[in-house]
Amino acid sequence: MTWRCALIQRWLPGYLDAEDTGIRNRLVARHLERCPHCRQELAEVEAAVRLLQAHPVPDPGPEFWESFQRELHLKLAQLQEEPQPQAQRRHLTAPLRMIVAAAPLVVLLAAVGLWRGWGPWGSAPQPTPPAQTAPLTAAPAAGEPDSSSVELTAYGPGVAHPPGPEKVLYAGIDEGLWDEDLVLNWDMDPVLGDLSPQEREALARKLMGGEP
Amino acid sequence: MSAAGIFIKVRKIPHAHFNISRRGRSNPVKPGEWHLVADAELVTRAQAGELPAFEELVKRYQRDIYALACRMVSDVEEARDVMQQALLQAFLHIRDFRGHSAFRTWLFRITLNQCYNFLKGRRRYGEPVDVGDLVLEAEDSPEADLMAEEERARLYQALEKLPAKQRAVITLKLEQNLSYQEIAQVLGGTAGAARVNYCQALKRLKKLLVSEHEHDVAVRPYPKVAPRISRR
Repeated sequence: MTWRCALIQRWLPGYLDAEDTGIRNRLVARHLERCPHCRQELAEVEAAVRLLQAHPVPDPGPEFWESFQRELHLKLAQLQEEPQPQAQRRHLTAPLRMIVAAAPLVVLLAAVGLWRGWGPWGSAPQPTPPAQTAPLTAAPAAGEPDSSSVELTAYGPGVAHPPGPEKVLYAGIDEGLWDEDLVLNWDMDPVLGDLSPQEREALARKLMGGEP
Repeated sequence: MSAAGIFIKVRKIPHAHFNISRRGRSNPVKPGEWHLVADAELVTRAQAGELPAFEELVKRYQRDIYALACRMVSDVEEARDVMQQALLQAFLHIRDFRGHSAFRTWLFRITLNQCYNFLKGRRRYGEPVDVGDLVLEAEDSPEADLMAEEERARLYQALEKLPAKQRAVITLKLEQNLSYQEIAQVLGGTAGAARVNYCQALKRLKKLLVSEHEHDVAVRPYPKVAPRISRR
């Protein structure tokens, strides 16, 4: 059996059908003229159709139909007398359908609103504060709560870091060990570059705690 | 379009509607004349709540519905129940029928839905199928009767093995003579899909029939009558 036979055999039931006309039927007819295998297949399909049409469902007889109609009439009359819930349900279903259709849209809008910060639940988008370069004050001693101060927490390995931007605290600024203006000049290279070797040595001695 | 033309159209449309709706109530049909009324008129009257109109529609199509139900469920009593359930559903929902298809096609669709529900329940509870009840007619001679009985049994066994949708499409096409477009209205989908379904169903039925035949021959070989030739 060639690929053409497989294709033609798919069309054979339609070929038997009077409704199916056109170029496909001409192709099938031309193929059937020279292919005995497909002719055999067509004969078997025709036999199946003939068998089915030769054995229709037998009519059960007039008594069957009379009793059936009597029974159906009683049930139909009973149905007609009952108030039909269908009409009420139809009135209810129209707004319900609209609500069901609108619900996902409302949820979507609420989610977008929360994300964008609209409405009463979300806060308006705040402008991001400029990067704080000035050092913050350290936390006061234990037992003296101060709302303006920043709580100091040690974060080591294994301890989760809190969300949000990091705040840089400078140790020793409260003790007056160094000035706030010096913070802007952490880059010492240009300063050192301008110094002579003697001045550098004096500075090193000063930083190491020696005498000036 | 002139203003007068618009005025005439606006006046005409409600008038026509009034005539249609009034006709059902103002012209009562005599009891023996229901068979003279067209389907569309009967449907309109049934939608208005006239029970005799619906019963006339039932009389027209009950045999088709019964044949379809019998083919689908393969049981006379169950087919009767399915048919009754389908007709009750049709009566309950007849106001939903909008006339996009023929009333007969609409009834077939309801019947098939009932059949699918029944088959789903039967698959769940595993009730036996009794196809023997369908055989009610006797042939002329005992030999022909026996042959027809065997063929019928072979056909019913093959139909039983077909999937429900393929059984439906074959029945609608070959027994109810519906077009592919009407089959598509009953089963859903397009006319092309209905055609493909029909071709596949028929090919499968043919294969099942051939295999049933081969099985019959293998299981029950006919005794060969050897010629007895006397050696004398």
